[in-house]
Amino acid sequence: MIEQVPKDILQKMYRDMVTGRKLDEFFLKLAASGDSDKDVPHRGAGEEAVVVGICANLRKDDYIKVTTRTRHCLTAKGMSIKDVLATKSYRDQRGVGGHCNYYDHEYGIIPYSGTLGEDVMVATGAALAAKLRNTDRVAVAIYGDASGNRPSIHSSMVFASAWKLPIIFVIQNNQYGMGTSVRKSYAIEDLSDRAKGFGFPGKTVDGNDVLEVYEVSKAFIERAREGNGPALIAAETYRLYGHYEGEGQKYRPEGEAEEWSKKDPLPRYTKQLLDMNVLTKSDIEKLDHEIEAEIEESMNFARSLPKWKIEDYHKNCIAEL
Amino acid sequence: MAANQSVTYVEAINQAIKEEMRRDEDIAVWGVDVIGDFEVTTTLGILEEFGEHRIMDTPITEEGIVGLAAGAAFAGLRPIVTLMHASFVPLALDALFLKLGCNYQEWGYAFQLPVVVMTPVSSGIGMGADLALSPEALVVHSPGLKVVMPSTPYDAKGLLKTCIRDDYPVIFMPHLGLYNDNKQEIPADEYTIPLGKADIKRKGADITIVTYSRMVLTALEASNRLSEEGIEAEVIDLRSLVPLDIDMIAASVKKTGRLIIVHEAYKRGGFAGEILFRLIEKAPELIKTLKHDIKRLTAPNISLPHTAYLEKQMIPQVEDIFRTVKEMF
Repeated sequence: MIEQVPKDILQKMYRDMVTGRKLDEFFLKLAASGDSDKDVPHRGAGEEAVVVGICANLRKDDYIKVTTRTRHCLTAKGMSIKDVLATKSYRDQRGVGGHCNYYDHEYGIIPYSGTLGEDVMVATGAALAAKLRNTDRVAVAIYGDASGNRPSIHSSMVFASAWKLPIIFVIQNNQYGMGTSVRKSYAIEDLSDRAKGFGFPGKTVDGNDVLEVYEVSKAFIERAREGNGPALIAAETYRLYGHYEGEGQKYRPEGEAEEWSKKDPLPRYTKQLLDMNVLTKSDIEKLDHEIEAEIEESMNFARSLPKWKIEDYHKNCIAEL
Repeated sequence: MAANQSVTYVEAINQAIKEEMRRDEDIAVWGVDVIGDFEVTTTLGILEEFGEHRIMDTPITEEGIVGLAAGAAFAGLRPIVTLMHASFVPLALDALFLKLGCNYQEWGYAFQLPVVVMTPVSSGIGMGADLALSPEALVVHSPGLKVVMPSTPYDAKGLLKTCIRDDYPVIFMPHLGLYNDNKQEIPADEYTIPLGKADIKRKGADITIVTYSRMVLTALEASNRLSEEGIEAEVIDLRSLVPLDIDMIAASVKKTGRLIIVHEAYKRGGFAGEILFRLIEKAPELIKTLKHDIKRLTAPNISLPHTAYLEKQMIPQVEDIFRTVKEMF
């Protein structure tokens, strides 16, 4: 399978995964540092393959909505590390950002919603606009297994199937919704079965295998682009860390996280690329340094921008009405 | 200058939508049974003129109807979407309150979100709490929503055209009870009415009645009877709740010295409270000089019954306004 994937795509996906991982680690360090830009990290290290594998099939003008946990992987959709860090630290020049509130009109990045899953309807609306305006753009909505039970997801699927909208729904099943196991909130084993009742195809993939995510999403995205309607992917992955950094994780059976960490998508993909000679060890080291330097430089750039002031924020609002 | 035309409220709404759709091809309409095969009449004839890419009957899922509108507007459309009854507002409240009303503000207006949600208040025929609710209090609380509730065909058309041209979300709530009665002469030429400008529907020097939507007609009828008793009421039709024309209310109350606020929504947390507090903030001294305590007439805090004759006894009627105002003299 890997042999058929163009080399530049293999390399792009690697770079995107490493960037996502390093940003996740950077945010953790920032949180521990007492820096004024810190927040409580909702770590997504170990879940990057889902966003990265899908984005390798998307164009700049396609739409995407991701989960808060892997939002920093949106460099895979074209957002620069500079913009990620400026957004995260409330210095975005295009709008007020915030640690969860990533948005980029230029790259079709749909704002995330704090009421998780409700934003899937927004992504579905973008797919509707793409269709009504006679474009061949597609939309992707990635949400967690827990938000997958929200009525808004079902409403989105009702519309997407009835109107054959160009949207791919993706459950990033990391096995937990805060402290509740997916087994407690679903009676089905295979989460992609949810597609059956809506009459569009569904497939479960190993969400820690970026190549499988890439292959399956490629087929569904092409299908949607050609006007054949929506699909559902259930990407099985694992939340290696707490819902947020510092919570007790009492719900997790002993040894479970250790088992899953053996399936971490990054070392796994790295090994495949080394075995195939797509990358060498020195390439990897070089890239590591390059990305770390870019993060450093981007954070310095972000800090050089003025933070949003409350007066600027009010300026555009209609509060006086 | 073309001659005037005589239209009903629903015809005025229909004209506004079609005229705007001719002007701007990014406008698309969706909602339950909007094509007109059922009994929705505000959107009749749009399919025939504009085709199926501009108007769509939706599955019955209100949160989807509004939620998709937010995304479609993000992606370049200017949706007009309908909820069959305004009492369905709670079904779509996340999409209305947060997606449309808050999220774009959170972004400091980094992008426009031109959505009109049109949803008629459907009281008056005994459809009960589930269908007859007047839910304006639920939406005026959202920081980014404009809320418009017209009482006449002329206002409905002019205001709706302004709503459609607004680059940010507007909740347009007509009243089902006004749809087919009260034909009115309106200009055949194009006109618009700005939001945030109330209208004095009847001039008077003795008391100010502040109201909106169908209650304007009730208040006018009561005013005619009061006039026979020598009381001249000034009836202010707010037309839009957000923005609110507090200046006009203050000027009128300063003149009359008496104020009664009338709406058909429930009393507790109802919009009357907001109007009064805005007035206090606007003109704190004025309140102390009034000739009588301020009154409000609303539905009581009891759920509307599924029985027309009981419902009638809960929503302010001509007699209620007449009697309450008389007691203020």
